[in-house]
Amino acid sequence: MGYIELNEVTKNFGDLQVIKPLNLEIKDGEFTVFVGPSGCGKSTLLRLIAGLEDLTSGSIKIDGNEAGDTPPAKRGLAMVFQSYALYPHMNVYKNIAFPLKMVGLEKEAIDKKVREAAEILNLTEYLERKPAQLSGGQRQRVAIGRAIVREPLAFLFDEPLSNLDAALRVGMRLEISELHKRLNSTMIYVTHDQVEAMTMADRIVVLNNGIIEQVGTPLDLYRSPKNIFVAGFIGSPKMNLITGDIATKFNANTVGIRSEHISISEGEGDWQGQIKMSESLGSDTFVHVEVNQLKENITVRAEGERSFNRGDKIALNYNKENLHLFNKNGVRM
Amino acid sequence: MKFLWNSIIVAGGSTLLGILIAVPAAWSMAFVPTKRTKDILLWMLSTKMLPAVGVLYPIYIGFIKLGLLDSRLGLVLILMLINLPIIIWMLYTYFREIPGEILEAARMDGAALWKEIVYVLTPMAIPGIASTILLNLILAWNESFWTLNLTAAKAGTLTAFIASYSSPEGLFFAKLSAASTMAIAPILILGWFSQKQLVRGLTFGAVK
Repeated sequence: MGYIELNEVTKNFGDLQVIKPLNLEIKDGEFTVFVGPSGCGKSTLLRLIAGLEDLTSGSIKIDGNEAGDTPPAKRGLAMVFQSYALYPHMNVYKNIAFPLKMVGLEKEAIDKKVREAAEILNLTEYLERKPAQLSGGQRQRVAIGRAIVREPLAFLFDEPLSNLDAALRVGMRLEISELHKRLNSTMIYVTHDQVEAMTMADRIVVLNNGIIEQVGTPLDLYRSPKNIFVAGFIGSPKMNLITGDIATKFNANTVGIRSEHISISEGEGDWQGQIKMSESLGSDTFVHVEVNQLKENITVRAEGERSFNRGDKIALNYNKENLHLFNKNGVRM
Repeated sequence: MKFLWNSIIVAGGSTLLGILIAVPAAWSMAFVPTKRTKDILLWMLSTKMLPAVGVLYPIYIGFIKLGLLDSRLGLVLILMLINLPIIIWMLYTYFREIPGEILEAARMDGAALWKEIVYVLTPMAIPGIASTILLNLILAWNESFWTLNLTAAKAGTLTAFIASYSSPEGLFFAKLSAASTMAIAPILILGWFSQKQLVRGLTFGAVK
């Protein structure tokens, strides 16, 4: 079991309140991702759950037991750090065996578990190596191995893929997702990368300035963001957020529309403008357009390989049903 | 021979005792600093700026009262205390180089505080600890002010032995030289064998 409940949790560093009163439930077996910009408090929140930071007020319950005053070692949670935090003086085997040694398990049992974990993570041939002799991806796998052997109530990941190169990151992302399916245990994953959040999460918690902006499944957040912040943060490229006349027309302060909901018109179209720049990704082409009727530039997604030239005239169509309307407080209407 | 033994016991004993106290002290200052940590570090260093002779009198009286005068134990204690600020400072700077996340990982892995220090922190700081030990051994071995003032025949170390050849009646150059060579030899040999470790320790963390 790994059911985690946060009640009115706050955290201050000196006079600065980095986590404002916050409530959250994390269900057993769920893959929850905390996502938000730098300094939004997501890592602090994870460290509060881990017990590496003390609560300023509020309570944390793990499987129904009050854990606020329990030291990290006794919470039954395992953590994977951004910097891997492997013990540099121990080889891979000893690194993975360390948590088992700490609970006083017998040598044979330790050996069995370490070899099992190494098998799962393809580390068997590296067991004798020191961390310095491993690549980034292998180091991260060792860190995950060290977490697995403990059979924790929940896994905590603190931006585990940030130090890896892009290709490796995609691979490790899949490995972690697979691991979650195999172990079926609770995982909390912190990242600033909304693509990681969208692809891995059962549920995403969007944080900003120490408060939760929205909690929901990836598609919930994508389809109906509660406010401008979530609308702008989730989805790549960013949702087009437009103010001015068009917003007033819908009695809103801001309207949002995703790049794939705008189409390039052959005729006159709803909007006319000039192309400022286009980015070809092969499968898609993103066109940045300066629209005559709008103050803001608009990003449009065109499917497939298309060629556009800077300064070309272009007409765009949008569908009213796909607009997201926000009031003057930035809240969805 | 007795003086040599005294030197070994006093230098070794004060170093060992100093390290046992300094490791946890440096750990707490490096990894759980408080608002006052910087002040405490400065205060400790400031005690080294005080001329030793300024506190000789109270310490001498204290030693008489405690019956520590001319005893190895007394000398071990006083040398440990005068070198403690330096040991703590050195260890503190070495420990600061160790990423806190590794110690947090140990904590998450279920290590109690002492296990975290013994299994994770100490092995990682070995070069730093080794050079600290060596420096402290040298300082304690060469120390003469407190040794001369607080000991006589019984607990005197090699420095006291050498000084005894300089008397109001004249200098015994030959004997003085022989005794000096004898006193320098162990440090020279020790230093020779551990110079690699020492240099690595002293420049530990200077370059990433």
